[in-house]
Amino acid sequence: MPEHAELVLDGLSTVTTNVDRSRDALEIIASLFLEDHRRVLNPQIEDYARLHRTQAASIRKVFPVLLGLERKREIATARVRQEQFPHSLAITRLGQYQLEPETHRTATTIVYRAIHTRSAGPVIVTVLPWKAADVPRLRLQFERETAIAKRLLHPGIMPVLDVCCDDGYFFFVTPSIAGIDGAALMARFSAGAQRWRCISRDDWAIYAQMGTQLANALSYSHEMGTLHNDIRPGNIFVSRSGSARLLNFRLEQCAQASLRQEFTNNAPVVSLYVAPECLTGCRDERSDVYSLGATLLMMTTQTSDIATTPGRQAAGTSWPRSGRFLRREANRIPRCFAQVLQKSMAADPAKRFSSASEFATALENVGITLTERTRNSVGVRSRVRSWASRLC
Amino acid sequence: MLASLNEQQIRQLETQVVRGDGTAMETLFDLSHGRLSRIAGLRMTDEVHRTMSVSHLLMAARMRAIRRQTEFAVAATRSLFVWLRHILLHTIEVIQKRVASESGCTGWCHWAATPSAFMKSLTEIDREILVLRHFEELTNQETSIITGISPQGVSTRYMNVICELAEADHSVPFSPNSEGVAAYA
Repeated sequence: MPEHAELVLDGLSTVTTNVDRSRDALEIIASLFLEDHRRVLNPQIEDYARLHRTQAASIRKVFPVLLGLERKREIATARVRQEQFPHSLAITRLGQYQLEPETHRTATTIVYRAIHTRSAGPVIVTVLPWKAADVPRLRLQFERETAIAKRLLHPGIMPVLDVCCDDGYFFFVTPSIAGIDGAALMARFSAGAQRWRCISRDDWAIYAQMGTQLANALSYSHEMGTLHNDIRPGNIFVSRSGSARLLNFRLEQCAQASLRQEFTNNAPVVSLYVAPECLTGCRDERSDVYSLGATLLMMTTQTSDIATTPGRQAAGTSWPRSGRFLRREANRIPRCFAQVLQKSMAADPAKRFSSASEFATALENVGITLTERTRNSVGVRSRVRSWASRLC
Repeated sequence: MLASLNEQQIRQLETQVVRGDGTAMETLFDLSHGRLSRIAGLRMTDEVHRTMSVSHLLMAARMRAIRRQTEFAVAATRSLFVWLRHILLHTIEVIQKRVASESGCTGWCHWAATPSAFMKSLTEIDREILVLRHFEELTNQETSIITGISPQGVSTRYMNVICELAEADHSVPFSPNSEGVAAYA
């Protein structure tokens, strides 16, 4: 908790609550910067340097160090939080929602099926399993991320119906739609299943259609000024009818922080879905295009977890190798589809599709081509069958 | 509910604690639970960590705080949070003594082990100020109570350590790996 003080900034006095003249001026600014950073407001060092001109040189020198220390603190805090992840929550009701047994867990949430007590309609409740007061920053992050999702209304984006805090627990509500996430679908196919509902394992056309829906949703969110920042199979919802939706939008600074954690870990396995420029902290629409391309490729080739297969483990051990690995995987799918996905995953952002809508158009064309091809092959097959039956 | 307690209500609860009211102590402990659990996670040595989780440690500290709450009245500190932190560290110390006779406790825990080159070059007090102010997120006032240095001294020393760190260039654990990115392309 920073102690507020009277700040004299380039001759202008900013009056705040508790005046404490004993504090070092740079320390006061540093405390404000850290407070903003901890509230997930993504403060920029340059903005602070411009605002506090007399301290600009010190700010530029000292604040990167503060951020470095902050990362170390965040890693330690995340470790503690993981250890305190509860085995089960002793709650059966949150707000207007009657909870049913949990369906699954993520690194920071527990997901329940639930019934809305007034309408008796089924919903999905995603709960932050720690008391919100104990994890104020995580709660802030969740609040902001759900606020982003709540204002995005598109058929290709999972809507957030409600965001609440009850009994000290923070949670958000999404509609209950029959389906599974992309990671689960991949797991089923890699386990040997040939079909799930209307999606068959090698039905390239349906993957292209799902890709078109997702790219259109992405294009809409980019138009609304929002990057997804975390597209991967686990964050894609596939309904039984074969339509796909984007889930779990992330704040840029949080996605970047996770990437740093992955990168600074002893084993430098960085997610295959992350565009290479993200390593240098540069993200834009094209980074999302890369992630969507990689996700579609992994889903179509049913490549599950790279760390579970020995050959792929080697591929995932470093950045350059994982890039080559992705390009090699693209050889397993129809050429026209592979070309589009490879372009979306070009290492140089300038060589990718310039926008998600351009990517959507390319995928739509692929979908049409593949559907026609399937129809023609079915036509030939049926003609041969009828000719054979006439002979018999 | 706890987060909505104002300064006056907290003072009232502190008075009740001095009078020996266990419920008031429980309420105030719960109010500090988030901060204390963070400190516990940072201060637990690996030996203690292997023995018990942060939640169990906090439970033990909570019981100890209730048992010894009358000591708060005679404690030199005027901040209940600093006293609770003291109780927590004492609990860790007791457990540490019990479980780690052979390891030779250094007082350092897993998270602080890596940047030792720079951290070791700091004086004991500077190191403590950096840990208290930055990692435990204590205020200058609270750090001052613990270290016995004036709040102004804490403020100055904290910034001096950060400036030294900037000059020593021991800073950022994540820097773009240009070689990796180039090879990727």
